[in-house]
Amino acid sequence: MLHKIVTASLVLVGLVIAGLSVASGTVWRPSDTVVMTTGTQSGSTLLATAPGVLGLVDDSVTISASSSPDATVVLAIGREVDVTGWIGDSPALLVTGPASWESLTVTTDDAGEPSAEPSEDAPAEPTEEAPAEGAPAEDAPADEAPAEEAPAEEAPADAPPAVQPDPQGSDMWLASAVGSGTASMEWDASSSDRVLLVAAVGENAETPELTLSWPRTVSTPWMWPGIALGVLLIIAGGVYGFLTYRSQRGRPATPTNSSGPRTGPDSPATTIGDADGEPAARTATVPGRGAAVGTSAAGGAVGTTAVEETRTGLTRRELREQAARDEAARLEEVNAAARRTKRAWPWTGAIPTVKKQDTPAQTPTPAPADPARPVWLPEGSASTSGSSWRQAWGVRPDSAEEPTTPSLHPTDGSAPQNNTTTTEGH
Amino acid sequence: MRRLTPALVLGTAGFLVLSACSPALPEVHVDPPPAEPPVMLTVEQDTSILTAIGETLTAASETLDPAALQVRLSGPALALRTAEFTVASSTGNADAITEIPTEVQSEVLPTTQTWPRTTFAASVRPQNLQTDRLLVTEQAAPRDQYKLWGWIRLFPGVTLPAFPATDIGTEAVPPDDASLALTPADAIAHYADVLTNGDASPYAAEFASDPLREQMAAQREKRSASATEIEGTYSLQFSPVDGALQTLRTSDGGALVVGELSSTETLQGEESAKISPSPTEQAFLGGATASNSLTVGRTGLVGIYIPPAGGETGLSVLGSEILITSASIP
Repeated sequence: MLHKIVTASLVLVGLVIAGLSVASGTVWRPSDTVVMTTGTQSGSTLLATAPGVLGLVDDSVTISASSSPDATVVLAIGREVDVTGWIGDSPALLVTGPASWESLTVTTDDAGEPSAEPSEDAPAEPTEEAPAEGAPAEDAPADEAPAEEAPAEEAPADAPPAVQPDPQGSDMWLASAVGSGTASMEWDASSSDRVLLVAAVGENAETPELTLSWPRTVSTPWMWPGIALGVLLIIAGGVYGFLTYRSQRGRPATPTNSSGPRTGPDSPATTIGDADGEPAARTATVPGRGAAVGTSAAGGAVGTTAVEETRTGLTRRELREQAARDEAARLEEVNAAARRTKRAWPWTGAIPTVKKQDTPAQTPTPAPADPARPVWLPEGSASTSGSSWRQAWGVRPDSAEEPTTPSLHPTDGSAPQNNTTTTEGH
Repeated sequence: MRRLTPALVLGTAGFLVLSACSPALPEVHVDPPPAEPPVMLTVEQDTSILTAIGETLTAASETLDPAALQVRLSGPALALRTAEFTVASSTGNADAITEIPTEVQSEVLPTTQTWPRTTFAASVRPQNLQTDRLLVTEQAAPRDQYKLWGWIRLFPGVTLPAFPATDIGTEAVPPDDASLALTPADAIAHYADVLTNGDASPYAAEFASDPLREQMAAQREKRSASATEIEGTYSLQFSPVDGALQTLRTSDGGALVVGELSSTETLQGEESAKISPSPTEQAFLGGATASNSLTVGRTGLVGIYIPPAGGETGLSVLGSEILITSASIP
């Protein structure tokens, strides 16, 4: 059950992570264009940007401004000194920087004199600015005839309605654009000294609303790593689930697994895993698969009895002694395995079916039967452990181990005796 | 532990993803100010200014309407051109109108951060093969355009002094600048005195001989002789116009000043003498009958190079333009 939970969790978490990562790269991805606007303002028909604002996000900026539909909107780019000088004492709004990713901070210029003030220089202007043909702007794509503006500037100096200053056509601008109701232009803002002046000219012109937009390089740092992580988790969950599935389904303890002599099939498992001999423990040998070919196969072969025995509960000391024996046995097995043909899968060995039999009748974990068994190992009997082990396993030296299943290979290193025993046992 | 892990991973992943979605606001970056004041016009801007001036001159010349000049001319240039229109309309002859090419060979651009601002430009050779003109434009206030303030015809064989490149610009020099051999205002005043008094002027040695000086000297002689014939008097006076000068710094630390002069010429004969005004003078007389005296007013511009103080070279006059702008018979 736990396997299923773990598998499901891994897959689910992997899916969630992958999903969130895809979302971070698509749905939640920040826009490729940053658009900031001043919003609706009031108080002046002039609006200027502080140095550096045009190049805020990127050098390439698209400038757009709008005012009331019947007003002429003039955009002009000039040096900061020129723009400030041109504004002079006229009230003007100043865009100083970003307030958020969508809006700009607008402050009132310090030199906010009442509108009657600039009309002093106003009478001097109409004659100069009226004939547009004498003063072509740098690159005014939509240079509407500004001659209509000239009469509007003829207001007497003491009239309350402000003469709206019209920056169209001034020699100082590096670039400009004019439009009716709205105007837009593009600019390369690599120099922070170049600032923007926006003017809305016309009767009752509203304060212009400025919008700046820049392209932005957007990075999605979480997307691909997250997707990779999620896919990995899903795969891990799948592999885990598959392996545990296979393990739980069990493998019959077929002779195909058994040609190698074996002592304790569970020994490696038990030493590595929990002493309770759960299948989980056996699965833990999977990573060690390559080295433990013989071990696992052998383990599968005599697994039945061994499992039963394991479940009766060996003491730790017994387990350690068993492990020591099995280590040595495994070395020989590996050597033998090299000569043997490839084992059938699974190497972990099937979980042997447990047969409820008389414990004494069961054979202990088999010892290597072939003459390769080192002579110095004590006990010529089937088991290689001490008496306590023999007791636990119900091994009677005289009775000679009786393997309960035919698949058990000879359990003893002492070949003749073993063979005898085995034969007898059957 | 196993049950907690998925929740932990989920939570961490979600938190990380969400926190990646709000980058910090960009900051306004201002370039550090340059060491020297930057030039306040680009060559392209200056070219378009001169083109506009040229178009205005051409258009106005066709109609001979001085009002059409005011959009792009100011100061002495406006007075001179208006006078030329007057003469041209009166005589029906367009020769009076000085050719002013606005295509230029070189420009001198200002670094002045305040107003007024001045530019110089050396034009190409006019089509009538007279000498080149030096054009002086001025922007009086931020909301004004650059207007042609004056022009002078360079004397033959004159080389203009070197100025800093157009992408660097040069500074304007105040009229009382003491780093020069002579302040610009004094230079104009001294030269006016030399024109008035000729070699008798105390400042005669400051200036090398130049065509204007010679021309005025010759005119004085001739007219004085005529006056003697009619037993009358003749006087030719030059005086600087206060504040009407434009000065820019040259590469060597000197300055080139273009200043306005006004001149009054009075020829007075005996009672019965009759002085016939020339056609040019007649244009300004407005049909007044000839009499025994004639007063002619002229407006002139003169360009003088002033070396830095302590230099070896003296002042030199580079060019001038002088035209009759008024006449009267008292």
